[in-house]
Amino acid sequence: MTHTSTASRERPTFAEIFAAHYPAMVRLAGLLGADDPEDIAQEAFARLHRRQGRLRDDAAAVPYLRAIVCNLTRNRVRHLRLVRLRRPDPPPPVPSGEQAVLVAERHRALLAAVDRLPRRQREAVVLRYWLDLSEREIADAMGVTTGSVKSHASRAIAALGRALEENDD
Amino acid sequence: MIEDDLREALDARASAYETDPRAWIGVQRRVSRRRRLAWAKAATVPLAAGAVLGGAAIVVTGAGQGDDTATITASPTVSATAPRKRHDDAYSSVTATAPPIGGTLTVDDPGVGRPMRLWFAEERREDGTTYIALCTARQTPTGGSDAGCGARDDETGHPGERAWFGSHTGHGWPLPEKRTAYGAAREDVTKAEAVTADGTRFPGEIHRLPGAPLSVWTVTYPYEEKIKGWEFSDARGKVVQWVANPFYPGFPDPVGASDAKPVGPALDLPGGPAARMYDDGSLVWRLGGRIMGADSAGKMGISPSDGRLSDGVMDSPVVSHFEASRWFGYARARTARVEVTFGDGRSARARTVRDPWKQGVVMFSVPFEPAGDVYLSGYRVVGFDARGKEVWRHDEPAHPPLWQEDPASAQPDAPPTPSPR
Repeated sequence: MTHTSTASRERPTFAEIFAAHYPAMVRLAGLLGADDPEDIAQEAFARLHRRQGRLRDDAAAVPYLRAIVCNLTRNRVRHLRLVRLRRPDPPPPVPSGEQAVLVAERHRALLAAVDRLPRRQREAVVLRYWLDLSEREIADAMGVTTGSVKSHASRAIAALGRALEENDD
Repeated sequence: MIEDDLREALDARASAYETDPRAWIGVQRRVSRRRRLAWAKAATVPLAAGAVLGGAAIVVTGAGQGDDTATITASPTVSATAPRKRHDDAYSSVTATAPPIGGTLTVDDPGVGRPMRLWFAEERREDGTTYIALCTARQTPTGGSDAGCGARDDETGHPGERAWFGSHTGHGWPLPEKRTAYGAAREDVTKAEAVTADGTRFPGEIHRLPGAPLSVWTVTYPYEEKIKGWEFSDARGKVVQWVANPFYPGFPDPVGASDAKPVGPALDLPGGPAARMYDDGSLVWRLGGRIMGADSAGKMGISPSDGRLSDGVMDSPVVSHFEASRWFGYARARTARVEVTFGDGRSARARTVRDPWKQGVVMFSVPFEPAGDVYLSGYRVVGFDARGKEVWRHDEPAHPPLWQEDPASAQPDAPPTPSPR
């Protein structure tokens, strides 16, 4: 969504930013593989609150949120992997009934392949194809260069293509 | 193409994630916890500088995915007699890059008493492909405006759906009596209704916009109603779509749902309202228990605040509210008396009292019945010290509606007739 405002005395309040972007941040965390996307999103907004006065302008809030969600999810997934090294793997997550309905069967193979991507490639794919971000915006969110974004995205698409071909076979 | 499949699959998965309606409170708790820890580390923490904004109203924009970006520009200060420059409104800015496909609909925004506009536009992705988006432009009584376009209001965003939710009009304090929900509908949809949890229905309208790829639906209902969703029917009366309200049973208000604690006593102003400061930085004005207004200290109106109320009267010396036949607000310290004057000669005076919360401002309230919408005419407020000497003056410019009529009028749907389809 593109959004333009003019205001006399009004700037977006923290509440407004929360209302407009909280669901999207929950979804972003979920798509990046967070086991508790709401926890990640709430923590991201709490950090935004602490940081907001130091952001360069109002428009910087959403890119900052995206970057925090990426970071927190990355750390959380890494932590879970370490925990699992010391414990047997938990059973695979069972999609809820609603998820089962919403995620069509034809998407399952593709999403399963997305889940198997290395974390950087997964981030590049989600930010590019779900949020439709530019390479510059993706680079900001991931904390890498635009060249690295191109590389991760193209490797991800190639890997997904191979995974689907194998699935068809 | 794998890229298209990927978009579709990620959209489908994303839509499965629901959000907890108590999330706002969860964020506030995290923030409060950090603040308490910070206070514990530093025995005394002076309140930092900030600027006070208007009420902490929620503006609910599209809650879905998309490359949301917001650009805020301050509208120029104009004199009370000078007409506003037309190119300053958000509708003009957005349509410069997202021109309407077909007609533009203008409907009343019951939250602010100013018309809002809705239209469809073609948005372009980075790869050059395009999609249809429902765009809205709203205005505020104080001369601000807000416009934006949704993410994929076409088959790519809503495959197989006959209608979908766009957003609803916002709110501030006092809460408006009514709110309007709106969204897009396909050609076969002829009826829209809002449905509450107990089955009460509120009829809406389907607006056909000449030349537009889709229709716009609107449903207006009492603000307090808990709308569970919207039901859409075709000309034969068959229900073709149910859209659940993503904000049911309601989005928590920053003030109403806050677990913020009062700071010190409430201040009962002459004739009401009572003002109360909270530890999240909000100043809430109540009359008979009903919230009449809310201000917040801090640069972004965030809570808990990192500023004092006094920071909000640095640039403009006074913050005014005109509600419930009263003029009330706060002004710079050392102001003993305030006087408001309108173009028609009507005026009111009030003595001030120091704020009891050490926020560095003075508070005032006086019964006053302005003639109509005070923001349409503009007004002047003058502050005097204890000796009667003028110490500041503030001219609030007139804020005429940025737009009133349809640039190309839309036709409300005719009474349902059998569809040829």
